[in-house]
Amino acid sequence: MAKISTPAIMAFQINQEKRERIFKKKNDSTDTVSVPLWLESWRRLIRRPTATLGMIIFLALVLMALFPSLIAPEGYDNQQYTKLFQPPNAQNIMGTDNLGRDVFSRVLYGARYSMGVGFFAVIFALLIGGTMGSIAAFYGGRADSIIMRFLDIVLSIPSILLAIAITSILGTNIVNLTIAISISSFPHYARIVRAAILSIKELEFVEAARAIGASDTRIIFRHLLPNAMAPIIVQATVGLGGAILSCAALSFIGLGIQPPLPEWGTMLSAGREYIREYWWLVVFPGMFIMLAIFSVNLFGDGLRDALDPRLKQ
Amino acid sequence: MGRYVLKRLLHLIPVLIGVMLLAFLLNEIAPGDPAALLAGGESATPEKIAQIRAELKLDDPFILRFGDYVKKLVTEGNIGVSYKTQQPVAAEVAHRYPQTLKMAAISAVLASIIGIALGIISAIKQYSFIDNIISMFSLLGVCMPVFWSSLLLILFFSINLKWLPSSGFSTWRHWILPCAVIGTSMAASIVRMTRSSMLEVIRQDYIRTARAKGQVERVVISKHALKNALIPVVTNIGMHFGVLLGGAVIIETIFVIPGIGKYITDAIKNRDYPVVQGSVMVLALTNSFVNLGVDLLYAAIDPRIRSQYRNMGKMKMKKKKAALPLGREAV
Repeated sequence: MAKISTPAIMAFQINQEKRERIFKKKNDSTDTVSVPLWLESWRRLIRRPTATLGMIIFLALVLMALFPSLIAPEGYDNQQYTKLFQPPNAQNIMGTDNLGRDVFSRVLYGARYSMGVGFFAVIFALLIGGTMGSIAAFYGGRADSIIMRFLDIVLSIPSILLAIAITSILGTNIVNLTIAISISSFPHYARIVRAAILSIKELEFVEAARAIGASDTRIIFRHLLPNAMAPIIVQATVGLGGAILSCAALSFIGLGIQPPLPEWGTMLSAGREYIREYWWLVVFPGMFIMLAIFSVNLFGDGLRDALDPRLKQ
Repeated sequence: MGRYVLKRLLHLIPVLIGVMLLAFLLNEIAPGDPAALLAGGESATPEKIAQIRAELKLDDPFILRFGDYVKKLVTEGNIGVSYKTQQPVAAEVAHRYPQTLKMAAISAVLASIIGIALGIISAIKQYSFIDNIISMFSLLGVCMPVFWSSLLLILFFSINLKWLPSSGFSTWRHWILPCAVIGTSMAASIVRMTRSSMLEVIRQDYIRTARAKGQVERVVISKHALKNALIPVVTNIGMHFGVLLGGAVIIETIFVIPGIGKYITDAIKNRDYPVVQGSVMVLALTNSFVNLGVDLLYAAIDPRIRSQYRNMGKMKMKKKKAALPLGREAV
């Protein structure tokens, strides 16, 4: 065969080699077929400076929330009556409050409450919304219209009012606050999950799974949801910012985390009384709320671009 | 078109019934007895509480009270009477809603004008100095919690400079701070939306075509690009406006404005059930109308959507005909 060297046959041979190479490559990577996609998105994500900045700030805040005692100079409820209302100085870099507590330490401990409530609220909302959205999309028909009408009803009540109503019914504590925030935000997740599943549920891999006898639950959890993850993750990231904001807002109007716990919104609300003379009581906690939301938004924006199929080319 | 609006209005009925039921249910599971609160809290005698319960028909079963409420709503247009003040909820809502509406409308109009303009500038000068500045400020504006920016503005303009009052609603000067706070946060979000939507449209072939045939740049941007980029922006504005109409609770609390958000929050705290039910109904209704308005605006902006709305009825008929087996006519 090597003797014959017309261009057509050469082309055939080269194509053959190429095909074999590709085939071999495919065979080698069958076990880890989903890794390169995520890895690629990850690479695209960290290539964006703003997304990386957001991630770094966010990780710093998470570390603060997990180990505040390592950085904080004092406890969050250490009252020192000899130094009330100290302006920011070398010892208390964010000053002290009306009970002589170090504002910087309180802000550090506050990360735990604000971000923790936000995190769990998003998880709960994802669980409720994800289940409803997948049922609506997968079964369609009557289940879909009942669930969608229900979501319409919940959405037509402003979410902050719904959260206020729920916290005042359940009582004000951390668990109820988390429940209230997740109930008032789950319709958004339900809609996103529904849309994401609707767009892939007619594809062949779903049919294949059904053909080999997979149960509905298995199809939803093992085949559909993992493939619909991208928009869900983006929504969850951006939603985390919203949940942190709702937590702070509810605490600000006295329906969230109660003093002396140092949630950022609670601190703002307590500092509001003294705003005329002692500005630092209001400025610093708010700055951290903003920083948290800022980092989450930057990260979410980067994530959206990294996972956007249109930019993959 | 009229058919579409009618259909949407009919869709409202089950949603409103659902909202009513939900508000009723929430009140049902709420702890605390409104009769005891009305009778004077701890010091109230059981007889007095029982008498008030009987007057308010609180001992009737849930379904009876709900039926009674719906009947009154439909026949008399009565959305309830406050337990606390004995005033009709409708009157109080009519008295308070204008304040909320005024604040929402001023902020939304200003935010839309500023937001769309800055968004366009940012998009056509992508990656320039001015774009970076606008993008940075809009990102900060989106991240700033309104209750914090309100406090900062009060600190700066009312306490330090003493230019503007920090609370109240009687003169136009009182409205500057609340509207500025809501307006900036809304404008920031509109800027971001307009920018990304414009950037997507500007890359399209028809924009290149418009430029290639020698169209003036101003017309390319304002007519060819903006009109196609407006849909997500309008959605965003509508969403914000809907939230503002009912959810400006925190702004109303900080600036002591007697709007509807404050009214509901106070009622929730006081267990004034009828007020909560009535005003949530009104809010759900206005929210739905805002959504309808947004959908109609789509039609005004985009002729494709307009024809879709027009053909909605016809298309259904066609589909039905197609779905029927051969030889049978649609009824």
